[in-house]
Amino acid sequence: MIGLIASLLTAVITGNYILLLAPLIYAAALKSRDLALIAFYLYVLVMAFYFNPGSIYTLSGMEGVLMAFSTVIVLDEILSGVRFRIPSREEFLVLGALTVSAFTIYTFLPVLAAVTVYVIYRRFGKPVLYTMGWWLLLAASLYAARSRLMHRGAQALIIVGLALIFILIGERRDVKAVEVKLR
Amino acid sequence: MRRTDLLLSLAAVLSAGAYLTGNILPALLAAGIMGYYSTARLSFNPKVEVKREIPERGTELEPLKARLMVKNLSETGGRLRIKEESEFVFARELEVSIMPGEAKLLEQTIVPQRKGYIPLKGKVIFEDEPGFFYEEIQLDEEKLLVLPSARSIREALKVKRQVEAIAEVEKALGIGLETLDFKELREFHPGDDVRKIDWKSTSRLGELMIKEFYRETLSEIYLLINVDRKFRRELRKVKVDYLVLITAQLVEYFRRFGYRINGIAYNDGGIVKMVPNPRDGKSFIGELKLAPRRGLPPIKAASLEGESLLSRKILSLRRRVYTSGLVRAALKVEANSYVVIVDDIGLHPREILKAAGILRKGGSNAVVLYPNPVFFMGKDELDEEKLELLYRRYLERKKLMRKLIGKVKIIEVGPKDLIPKVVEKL
Repeated sequence: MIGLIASLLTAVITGNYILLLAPLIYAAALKSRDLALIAFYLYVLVMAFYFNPGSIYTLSGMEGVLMAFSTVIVLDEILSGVRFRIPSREEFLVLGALTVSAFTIYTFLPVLAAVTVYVIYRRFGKPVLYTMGWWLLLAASLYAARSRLMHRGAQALIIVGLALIFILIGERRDVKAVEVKLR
Repeated sequence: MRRTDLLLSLAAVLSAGAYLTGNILPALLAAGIMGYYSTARLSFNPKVEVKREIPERGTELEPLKARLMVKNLSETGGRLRIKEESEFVFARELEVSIMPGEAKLLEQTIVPQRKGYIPLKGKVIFEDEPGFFYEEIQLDEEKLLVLPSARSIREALKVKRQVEAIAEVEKALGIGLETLDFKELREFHPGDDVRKIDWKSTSRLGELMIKEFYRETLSEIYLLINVDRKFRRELRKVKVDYLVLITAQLVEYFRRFGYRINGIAYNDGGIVKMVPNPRDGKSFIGELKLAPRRGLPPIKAASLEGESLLSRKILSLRRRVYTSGLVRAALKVEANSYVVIVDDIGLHPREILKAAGILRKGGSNAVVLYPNPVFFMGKDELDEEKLELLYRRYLERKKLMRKLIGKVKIIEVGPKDLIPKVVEKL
């Protein structure tokens, strides 16, 4: 539910109305988790190439960050199972904070970042510290190299490159992965 | 395809698109997805404690409840799926969500599909909440004793056993093979092969008729009969014991076909009596002085290894005999004969093997007719506890029989193999 509201508010703030399709993914999640994952795949592809924000160092670039945060929350919720239920007290507080902060991007961005941290912490516990560390590293790297990263392609390269390093850290743990089954 | 592969391929497409189009939004989305995946992977460290309590015994095809105590000791929540992989039971898969540190008590319904000792192989699968990763935990293998259900026993009783024990003995011995020369038509007797029924004459005379053929040889048959009181059991309804019935039945059967019979009665101590060529079953029983014995026969089977060498020596010293009755009887059999040993394999399996070895060396063909005392227990004497004990003993005896059957031919008989006509005559 948090992801759905966050997406709708992000759609209003950024003017990228593709985010208004988020309820369709939630509807698919009611049927099956794997169906929702495929719907999410298409939704992200359409959203990514429909909207072209400016440089990461501009306010327009920050709109892209908003979309990334709300997309992560949507992904978490559809994978963990969507159910019709009355939100808990905590969720009411989070939704209230999101709605109140949604008047300007300057307030909405830190609140949405905090909500993303809260969602990841609730799901995975302490490893959220890795995520936060990685965000700080990404932000510091982008800030340090701001004079050399004028082109948006170069900015994209740095973002993706640092994300790949984070994946390599995650790959240390040997695990068995679940198969996709469409039923 | 795995869920994680789907997500990572999306991240790859987005990353390539971001670089090629110079758009930072796909790069941010790809980073978000990769970050989420990595955090999920780093957090996945399942520690689940599962204890399963299964009732000591169950009944075939009747559901029983197993209690499962599950505790999630890991820092993340997830879904637990509990499966039963044994092919001998049917158990519905259980699925529960479990939070970090949470303990749950579950009940699993298990339906045993066959009787006997069946192994249970439980498996627990812990899957993380996003459904990316899983871990399998194999539960310790346990054994469940499954007793036959009252329904299956009732059904088994309805089906009339078609075992013709005496004809089986004849077949196992392979005596006097039939030629193609027709001898006569005669009345059907219990134990006759149904394939020999002559349907034309049967319909004409209104009575089952059998085609009889000449036999190649008429051989001598030795009946080695254990008359020890341990081997006797009175049948309530007819006031005779099953040994008397089986012996009479064997003599009648082989006499009817013209075989020459030699009877040797023995007990644990030695040979009791030798009866050469008895006239009929009744006279043979009379000569052996077999009277019904009351009481419970030992139903527990002795081990194939037998007693230790020392205890065997002490026993033989006490009895003042050094060879068992069965072995002595086997030594009395002439070479190249056909031998039917009527004995309980559970009493002295070692001696039976010894005797069979002696007979084999002498070129004789032997078969053991084994009245299983478990089959002869009266219904009125049974209660739930006795029934279970009886079932355990039955399984032990089956196991022993399987061990012996490779070395000597054994035919197991029960009360249904006793021919009513012989019973009436006695």
